[in-house]
Amino acid sequence: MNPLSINSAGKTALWCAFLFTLLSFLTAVAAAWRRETPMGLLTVSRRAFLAGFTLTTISTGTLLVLLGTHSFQNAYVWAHTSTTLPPFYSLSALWAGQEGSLLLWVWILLGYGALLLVRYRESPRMLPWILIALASTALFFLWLTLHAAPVFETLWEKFPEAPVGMVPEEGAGLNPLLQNPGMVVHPPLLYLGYVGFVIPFAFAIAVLGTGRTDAFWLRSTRRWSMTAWLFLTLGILAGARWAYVELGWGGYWGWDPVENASFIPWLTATAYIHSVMIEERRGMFRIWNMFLIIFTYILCLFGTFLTRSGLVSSVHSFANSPIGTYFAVFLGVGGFLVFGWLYMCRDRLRSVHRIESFLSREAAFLFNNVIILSMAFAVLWGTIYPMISEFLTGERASVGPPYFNKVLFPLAMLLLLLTAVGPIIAWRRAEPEALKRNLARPLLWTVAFCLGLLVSGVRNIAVLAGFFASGFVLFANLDDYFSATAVRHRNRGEHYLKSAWNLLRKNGRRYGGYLVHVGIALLIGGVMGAYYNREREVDLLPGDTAILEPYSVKLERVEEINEANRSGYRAVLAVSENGRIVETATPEISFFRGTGIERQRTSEVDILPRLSGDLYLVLAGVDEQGRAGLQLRWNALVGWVWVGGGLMFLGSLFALAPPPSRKGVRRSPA
Amino acid sequence: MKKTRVTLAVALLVFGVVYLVFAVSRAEGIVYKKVREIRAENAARDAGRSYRLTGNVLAGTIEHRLDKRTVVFTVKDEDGETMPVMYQGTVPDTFKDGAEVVVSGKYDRSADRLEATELLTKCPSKYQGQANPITAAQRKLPPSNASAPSNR
Repeated sequence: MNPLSINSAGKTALWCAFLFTLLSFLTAVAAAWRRETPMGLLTVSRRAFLAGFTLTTISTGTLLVLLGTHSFQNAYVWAHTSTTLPPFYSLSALWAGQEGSLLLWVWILLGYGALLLVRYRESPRMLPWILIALASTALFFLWLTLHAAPVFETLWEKFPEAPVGMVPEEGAGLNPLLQNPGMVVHPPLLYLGYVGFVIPFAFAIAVLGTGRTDAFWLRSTRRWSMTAWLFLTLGILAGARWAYVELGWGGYWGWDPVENASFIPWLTATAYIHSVMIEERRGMFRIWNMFLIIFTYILCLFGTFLTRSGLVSSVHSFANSPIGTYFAVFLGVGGFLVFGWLYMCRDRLRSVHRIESFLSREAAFLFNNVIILSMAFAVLWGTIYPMISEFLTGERASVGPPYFNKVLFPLAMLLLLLTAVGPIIAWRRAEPEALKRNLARPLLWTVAFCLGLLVSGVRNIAVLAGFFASGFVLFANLDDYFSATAVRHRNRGEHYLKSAWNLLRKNGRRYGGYLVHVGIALLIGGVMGAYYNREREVDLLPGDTAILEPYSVKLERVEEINEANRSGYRAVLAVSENGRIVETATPEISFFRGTGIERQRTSEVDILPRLSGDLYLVLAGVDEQGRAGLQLRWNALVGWVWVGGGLMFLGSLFALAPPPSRKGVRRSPA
Repeated sequence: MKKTRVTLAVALLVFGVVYLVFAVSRAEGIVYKKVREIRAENAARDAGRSYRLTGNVLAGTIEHRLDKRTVVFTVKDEDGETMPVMYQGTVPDTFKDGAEVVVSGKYDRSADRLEATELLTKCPSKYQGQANPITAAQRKLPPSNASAPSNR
């Protein structure tokens, strides 16, 4: 089939998707208007939505075909692929640029919506409102991909000076930095996270619309929220991992505005998945939860807006584009309407109970929320500080990592202490004696752990405080888990390991959560390790050796790289530890061919990972005499960031998994 | 009674956070200034504060000094005025002639130079709007690629 016909087909499908979604929206509005939900209208709305999803799927598939066949008549395909690009990366170019990313975004949105519509059977009263929320967001994004960031645009439509029918022999190619598996999974994971919050958001809208205020919507959306949170977590971690292995600056997080844009909704979502437990259990914090999920969803859209608008300068600096303005209007109007509506419904959403005691699970959750929201506020403040300072002082100023580290450190410590105590403290009113009894052992372990650190030479008070807080979380959560395991083992006579497994499986919400907490503690421990990072920059001739305790690095030789798509140098290094050669490392520096007006330099770092820390080797350059400029970094404990991230993933899976006893029973669709 | 205690604690916490955020951002914020403004502020005496200067690396001015870690170059800001910059450290992969950079550091009056402690380059996706299939075909070289995070 002619690529141009495929292109038109994709565009037509997208237009039809827009029209069907519009139909779904209008019929949903009509259905919501009536006191008795008209089932006929609702069916039309549902089917139109599903048709919109199907057509967008076709449209996305069409773009994949164009990308896979290198149809350079399409401006997007031309700008993001080349014939030398491996097929895998050609397809991933779907989200390499703005237009394709937005298409993927809306496809995921419609996909989540379709999944919900297919599975949700509980309350037809809710559906019109859910459809309104889903369809209105989808309409906005569909309109963007059709009008403001058109993805099915031909070269001669995009560039008026290009002759009609032009087919370049070669495309502009994908940025070599993006040719990395971490970068392939990072954007879709983030989108799955960002967009996933549309479902709880839509339920919140339905609560406002129908006036049904019991906790049912939390039960219906718990798995959706957890799934979205999990994807967002994984997306952020994949991005951090990619930055670490690919960018060659030795770090994984730089407090860049675009990174922050994903971190802020992660924080509010984390607050949400904690505080809904109180509403579910005690009927409290209703307005607060509604506020949190609406705010989270708006922040997810704001994240996209921030990335795309060029409002703050960022190293991610996507090209400035007019869609920033559309986002600002959409977010401004949408946010105003929804928050205004929430305010008007406030009386119906009053809490059933009040906090009875300072020492209670409810109060712990309250403080957890206040601290997490404070962190979100601090990050947001730092991110948009250029605008704030311009407003306050008339001078545009920006803050860097020191601001974020200084402000977030004390808050993170407080939060960790709460994380240790929170799961153990009783609901309503805790007995101080019982609390002391439960915390004594973990506290003892933590103190012993910190004394151990002190003896082994850790003197910095902030580092000690950090390890104390993370250690406390670790020991408190493990202690409670092992105690519960011991009780089960005694009562049921099961094998100890079987008891441990059964607890995780049968009470995944609780113990999966513990696992996530342990993961967080380890992750923060890994972050704290950065205090002990060391760095050396050396110039070596072949045969020379540089030392970064406990390693010594000897330059064996420098090889030239001459491959089809790149040229460059490879330093062959013999790495020894305590005099014994442990590995041959080969950091590279390469210049990719055909990726720009000027060739772009990229470093391929080599990493020797250990749990105590990574030896991180960068080849900075090679001069005429064959001298290699090397950067040797010791990144202490950084591996624990990934270990902790992995545990967070595992723990979330346990929390998401339906308990085995309910097998065969039809599960709630959430 | 209990309720007031909780409210009080929350209020204290919120107050503390707001204070912290205000104080630290005031202390850590570095102003964006143009070349002319930096010179004016330091004309009489050392202003003693750091600046962020945004501009492009003037082609042909990149000079690696002493060893590879010190680089001296000239930044041209949006008004077309130029200022020499000295930076110590490894330069990012995307640092080259014409690259858009943000340098941060103190101004050295006697040398009329910005002693940068931070050097950020903006990513090549800035060229997205300028990429053009026709000039690309003429140059026998595809133009720069689009929408990508840059190295720092």
